[in-house]
Amino acid sequence: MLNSTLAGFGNRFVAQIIDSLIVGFLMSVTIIPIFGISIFTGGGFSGLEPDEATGLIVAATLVPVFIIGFVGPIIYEIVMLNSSKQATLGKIIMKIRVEDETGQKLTLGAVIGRTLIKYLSFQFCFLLWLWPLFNDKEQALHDIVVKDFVVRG
Amino acid sequence: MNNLLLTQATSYVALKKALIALTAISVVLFYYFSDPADSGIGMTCWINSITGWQCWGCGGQRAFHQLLHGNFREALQFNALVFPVLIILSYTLMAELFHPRPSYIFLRKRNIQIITLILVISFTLLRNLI
Repeated sequence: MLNSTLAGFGNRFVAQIIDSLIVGFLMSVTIIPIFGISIFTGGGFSGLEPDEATGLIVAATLVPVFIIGFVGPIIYEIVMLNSSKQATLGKIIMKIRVEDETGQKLTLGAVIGRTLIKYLSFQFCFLLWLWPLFNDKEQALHDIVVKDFVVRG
Repeated sequence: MNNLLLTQATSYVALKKALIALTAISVVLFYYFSDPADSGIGMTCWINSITGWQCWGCGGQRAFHQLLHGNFREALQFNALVFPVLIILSYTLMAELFHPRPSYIFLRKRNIQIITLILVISFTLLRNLI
């Protein structure tokens, strides 16, 4: 961060959109052939009786969907941020990367912590996406906790 | 060489602005035609799911849908914060599309940060207590 220029809210936002499109596409090509399009709308379960057996079947079906849908993006982000590029594909396209206070690559622990805080906090309230707008260093909640910065590079 | 760099920079800015504009249009169209109150499609709040309490953002999607249809009172009832949030988002959208280097200095002033924090906390407490 010492000699770096901050990424800018717009670049971070666009990088997130690109990542969402990439992850969304990968999720779709993985989930839809297995479970069908109705898994996203709940339509596949709407006609079933709400008894215990049905509940178990629905739960068993949703577990892999949850794993692919929630854990998949987290693994993608951890792997990409831990790479030499220090960035996801969206960030690479927008020419930005994540670094620590000294301008170095984040440790694996910091990357995991950052990613988990990011996805969990957004699940609690998507308005947390606006946090960097109010922060001098353009840091979101996950950046503040891990003490990292998103910079141009 | 300079021309190549200039072309790359122009393409990069154009891609950024196109994606921002496309996202904004997509979000508006989605929430215009899809009512989160009926469709069940949209983001769910874990705070509300786990505790039953309403966070500062709960009802925001339903409020946005009502606002797009001109129902200001209904929007206010779902989530009063939709008005200031939309003003901020509109300002951000305009700044990103038309300003070469948006800075958001105004939003980053200490008193604005404190006022925003107080507003969000007060709103959250009041909507759960009243």
